[in-house]
Amino acid sequence: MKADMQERATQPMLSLRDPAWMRWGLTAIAVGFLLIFLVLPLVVLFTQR
Amino acid sequence: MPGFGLSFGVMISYLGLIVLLPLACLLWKASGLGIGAFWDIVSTPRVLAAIELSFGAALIAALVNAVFGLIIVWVLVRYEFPGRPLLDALIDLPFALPTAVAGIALAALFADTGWIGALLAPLGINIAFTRWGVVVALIFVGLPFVVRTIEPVLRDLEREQEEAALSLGASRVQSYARVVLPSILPALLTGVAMALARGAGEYGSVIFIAGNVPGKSEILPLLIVIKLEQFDYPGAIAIAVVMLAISFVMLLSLNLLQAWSRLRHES
Repeated sequence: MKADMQERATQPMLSLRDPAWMRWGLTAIAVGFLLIFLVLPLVVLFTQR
Repeated sequence: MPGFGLSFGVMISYLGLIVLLPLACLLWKASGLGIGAFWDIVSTPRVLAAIELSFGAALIAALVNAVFGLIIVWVLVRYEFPGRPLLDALIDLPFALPTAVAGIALAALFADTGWIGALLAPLGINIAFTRWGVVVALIFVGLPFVVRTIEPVLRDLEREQEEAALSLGASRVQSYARVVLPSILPALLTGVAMALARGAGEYGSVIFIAGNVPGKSEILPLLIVIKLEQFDYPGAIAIAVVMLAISFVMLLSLNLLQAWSRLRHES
């Protein structure tokens, strides 16, 4: 049992996490798109005189 | 099959009353026009330009939403970052906001004196009161259709499939292209079809940002309203029938593509 656990712990884990550049890049694109098309129109509505 | 007759009857009655009956009335009214008169109405340069603009802008907006909607869904489902619930809630804003209000806000933002319009104007790019204004308005109204259609599918997608692909030697790009994308493609096509249908018939937000110049930035629904205001009912009916026919063909094609994609994925 202990040997089995030790073997599992030493096995290389497959990382399903996207690379950092991809995470940051996609988040920036998504936030930018939402900012231009959803947030700014909403802000304009409340600031227009 | 127990209950089939009753449920089928209810479905057909409801569909007939809500969808088929109004459409049948439209076609029946149009049939009284005659082919020559019908063709004379729908082949004028003003109507042809409106057809091109309405469906062209709806298609461009749906494609833009397909690309950016997919990225937004990916970010919302796969990544954790501060403010994520707020962004998630913002997606539904176009559903709740009256379209006329959205049109006014977008026109103010993209006009030459607006925050974004003022940045683009020196570059010679005008968005508000041009054809591109129509595309911007349709991107706004169509985005939630794409995002909310793909989101549950991507959320339910088992990560084990990607893990299996990676462990069998697939690169990350291959796992996206051959595991993730085929799984979400039917949902993506459904979202695009819904955004396209919504965009082609959109009226409220577009008329405030389009400028409504006949033959240039005038959309089909506006042309129908103008015809109705002029008591030109045959003209309005003929344009509505053309709009109905083109929308039906476009949606049927997308549905067939979606069915093919699902069959291909399942096999």
